[in-house]
Amino acid sequence: MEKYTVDSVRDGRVTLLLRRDESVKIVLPQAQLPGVQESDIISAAISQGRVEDFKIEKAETQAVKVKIQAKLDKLKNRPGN
Amino acid sequence: MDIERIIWIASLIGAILVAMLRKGGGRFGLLICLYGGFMYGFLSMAAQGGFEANYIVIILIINAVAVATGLIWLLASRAGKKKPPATAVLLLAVALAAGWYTLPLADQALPDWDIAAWLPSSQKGVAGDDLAVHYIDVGQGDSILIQTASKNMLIDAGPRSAGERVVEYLQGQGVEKLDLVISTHAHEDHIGGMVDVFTAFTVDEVLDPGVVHTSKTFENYLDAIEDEGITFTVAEAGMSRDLGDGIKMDILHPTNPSSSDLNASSVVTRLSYSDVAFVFTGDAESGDEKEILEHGFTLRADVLKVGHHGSATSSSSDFLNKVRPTYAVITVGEGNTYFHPHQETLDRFEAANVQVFRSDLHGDIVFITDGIEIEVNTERQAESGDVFTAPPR
Repeated sequence: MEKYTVDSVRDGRVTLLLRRDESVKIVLPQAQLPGVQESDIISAAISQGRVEDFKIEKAETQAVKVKIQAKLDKLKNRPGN
Repeated sequence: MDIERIIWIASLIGAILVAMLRKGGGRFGLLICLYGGFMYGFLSMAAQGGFEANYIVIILIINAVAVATGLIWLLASRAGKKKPPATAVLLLAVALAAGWYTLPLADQALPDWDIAAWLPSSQKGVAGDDLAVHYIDVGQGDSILIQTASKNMLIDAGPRSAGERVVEYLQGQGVEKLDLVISTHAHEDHIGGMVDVFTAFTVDEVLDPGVVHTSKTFENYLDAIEDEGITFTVAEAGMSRDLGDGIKMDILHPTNPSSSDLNASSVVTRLSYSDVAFVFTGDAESGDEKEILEHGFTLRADVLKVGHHGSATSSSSDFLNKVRPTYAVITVGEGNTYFHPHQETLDRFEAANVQVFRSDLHGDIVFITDGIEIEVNTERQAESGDVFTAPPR
């Protein structure tokens, strides 16, 4: 299974970015990925536009959120801003 | 008499009169110098888009003839001749006649040479009093360049795949520095090209909704802001930026952005210049539009960047009734898998008699205004029937 970032969930479509190369984008019907939300990191087996299996990586999602939030906070609080 | 003829003839007569007031052979040298200044003025105005490019070619040719006249006259004067030689008189007459008859015909008479490409990049851009808004065709995504004579601003940088295209487009418009960049929200189709932009240009400030996203694209974007030392400001409704020359950018949204709904964190702005205004919505949806309406901001605008690529979840009737745009721009990729723009949205604009431009059909779409009149240029033409028809599902 590959890891993906759920970039958006909109208009009945889920947009996934392949984490090892986010220039690769996959758009799937939302019904194939029930329960996923924006910013979730998931592991998924996708073949010919169909999701064969997937899992929401809750711990990794949380860890990445904390890491990126820290970067965001650093920019917000940087002197001169 | 048109303005070009008046300026040209007045400058020529003025130069000759001033030259005649001086004694000695230096008068013709002075004439040449005055021509040099005259040409410089015209070129400067042309570089800012003040004249059609072909006018400048004609002016250059005419002035070359006139300068040759001055030189012949000057040499004759130094050789002791009191009267101007016949060659000089003939050349001057040719220059006068050519100017008189060809200046008003310039844009039909010659091929459309891209004179701006010959000039240094810092001289490209918009004319002194003009504001240009470029909706760059980046496929499914947003990237909008706003240019005044003295400032450049970018709203979004398209998807990652369009980063180079955005950089090339900006370079083509003479951009060397961006005074302000707005990242409307963290979705890849809006910020994917930002790293390319930050690498290519000096950026003074980034405005961002300030909510976290877990994509590497977003993380790389934050890293680039840090590495480049760009000022980072969290955008909030009620803020504004003065772009100079009477041009102002008001921030209408967000108020309470949340990372659980990135579209709802979209930075929505209204750009105003004298009688003309533009509204840029990012991917704001009807709930966000309602929030903006409840705030009571001035929303009336001539041009609306349609929210979320023409999705039915945006452009509510209440919002449209407040903005009352004459033009709407839908930034959308051809054959996109979201089926944007949706027919319901197109129907709303058609019913409101709004002229719609779509980047999938029209390519790059450019609005130029002096604060009163608006001119629209598109890369391609499209039939009205196609514009108001959604892509098949």
